[in-house]
Amino acid sequence: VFWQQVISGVANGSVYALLALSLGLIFKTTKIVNFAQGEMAMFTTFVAYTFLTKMGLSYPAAILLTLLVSVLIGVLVEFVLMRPLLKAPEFNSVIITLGLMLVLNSLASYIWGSDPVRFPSPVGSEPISLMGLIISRLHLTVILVSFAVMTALFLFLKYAKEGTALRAAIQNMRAAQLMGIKTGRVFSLAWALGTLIGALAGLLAAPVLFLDYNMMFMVLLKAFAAAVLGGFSSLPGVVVGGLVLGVFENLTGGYISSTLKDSIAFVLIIAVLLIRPQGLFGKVVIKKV
Amino acid sequence: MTRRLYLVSALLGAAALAMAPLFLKGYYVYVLSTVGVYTIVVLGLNVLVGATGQLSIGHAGFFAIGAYASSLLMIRLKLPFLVSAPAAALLTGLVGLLLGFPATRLRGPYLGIATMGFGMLVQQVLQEWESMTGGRAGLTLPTLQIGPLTFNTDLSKYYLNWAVALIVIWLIRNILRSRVGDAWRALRDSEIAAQAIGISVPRYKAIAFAVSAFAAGLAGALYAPLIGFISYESFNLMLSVAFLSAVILGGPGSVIGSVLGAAYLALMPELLRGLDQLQMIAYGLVMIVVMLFLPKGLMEIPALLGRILAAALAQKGRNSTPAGASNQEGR
Repeated sequence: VFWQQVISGVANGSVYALLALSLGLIFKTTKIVNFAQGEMAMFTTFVAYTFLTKMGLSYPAAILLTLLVSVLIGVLVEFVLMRPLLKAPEFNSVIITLGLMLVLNSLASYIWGSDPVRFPSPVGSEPISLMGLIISRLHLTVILVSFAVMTALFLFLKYAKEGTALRAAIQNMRAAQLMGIKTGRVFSLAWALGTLIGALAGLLAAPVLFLDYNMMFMVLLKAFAAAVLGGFSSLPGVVVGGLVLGVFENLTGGYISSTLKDSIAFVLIIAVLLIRPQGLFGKVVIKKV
Repeated sequence: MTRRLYLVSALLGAAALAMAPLFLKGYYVYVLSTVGVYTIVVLGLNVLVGATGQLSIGHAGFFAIGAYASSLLMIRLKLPFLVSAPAAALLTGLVGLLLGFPATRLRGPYLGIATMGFGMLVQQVLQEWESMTGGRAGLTLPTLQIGPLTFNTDLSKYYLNWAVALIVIWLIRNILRSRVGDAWRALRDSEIAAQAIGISVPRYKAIAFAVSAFAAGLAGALYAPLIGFISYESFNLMLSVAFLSAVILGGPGSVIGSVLGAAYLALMPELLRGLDQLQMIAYGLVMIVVMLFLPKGLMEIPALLGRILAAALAQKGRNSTPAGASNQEGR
């Protein structure tokens, strides 16, 4: 039973890790913490739901179209809302992402109603047994897809030309500009990638949870906890943070108390910020005067 | 503002508030009464956001603690409102202080994340602790009684809420003008500079949290009997963001702006009756638009109009007085 708890914890944790990754990617490049990330993911998941059930598209087609929509949303948000604020205090951009959170949340309940709906699962419901463990197909799919996405992202950042540009801009914006990297394009890329990964997190979370306009609040809080735990500035750290949180809360839910399960994320945020504000893998940023 | 002008406008404002119910129908008295309650929360949040530059996305949590604490003291211990409300506000202030100390180590978005977590935790506890809070069923409030007075009409609650709101406005305005207020603004503008001149940044940030939470708790204690029923569902993340939206609209740091922001919070549902979602969309859009175009909030509009007018007049002046132009040539 212990290992079963661990595996479903890893499944939940990889969803947190994906959303945390999209938060981290945008934060590292643009220094903006996007409080609307969860709602953007929820919104795109509803778009996928419409493609699947209302328009009757096939699963791959619906997912592909949804990812395209999410990239468009990401680029649009960056260009319309974030670009003008580049030089403004970070406080302003936080307020704007909070405003966006309200707008998307209410827009979703306006368009799709406030009753939870069942998001079709991509795989059958009968569990499979693997090395003596009984694993739900859904959990296995979530884990496999998440790891594929994370691997793809790291390969992209490491080897693709645009990925290198992104890393350069993260390291030193001014120097990257001097090397001829168009930082505006890099920002768009970060938001597009971030929203895309967030959309995947929503798509993977929806069949497990019910699809509901408030579905992503808790997931967002946990993604924040994961990002804080791993250190916002370290992308691999964020992934580890998500997985650790997922397993940890599942074990607590299984062995101690299920009502405590959701509170762990909050306690973790406070504890980490107090004891080690830079997170497990983050670097300390020294503020120059 | 000079002292006399301030006094006159304060008296006029109080008189207008006292007279308002004479011209309004019952339901609008109730709406105006919620403006009073919201003013207390928004002003308290403004202490944190405007004066101190700290972000809180969890004020619905403080609001909820005040509402539940006061209600439970009245229901379980049969304490009078005159005891339960201040006790609840003090308790909330204490929670704010406790949260304030760790929060002083956090900046900007990190503080936002931590306070957001706090707000969601409070809601979670209210939901799970059913034996105490009634869970989804919530709590139904007894009739409000202060000494021999019974507050069971919209009109009586209106006067009660606004009396408290005016006291809070007066108190917070004075705190903002005191040394504490100076310290807050100093650390907002530069923590390092504030430290260098001997201001204890953690202490003043914690005080700001305590004052802000106290106000939110007091407002919660007034809100519960005003509505007559409370349930954890209404104290959600969206409410916290809506409070923040009111602060932003009114203008961070502005006392009158906070009253306007509170009025906007209370009136929006009336303007968009039955369309809850549209109301939230409006709150969100306001946050975005104000931040993009009016970073100092609504209170900036008169100044902005004044500048435009002055510029237009100057333009006109230059065009219509060639004498002035020749004068300059003569020099």
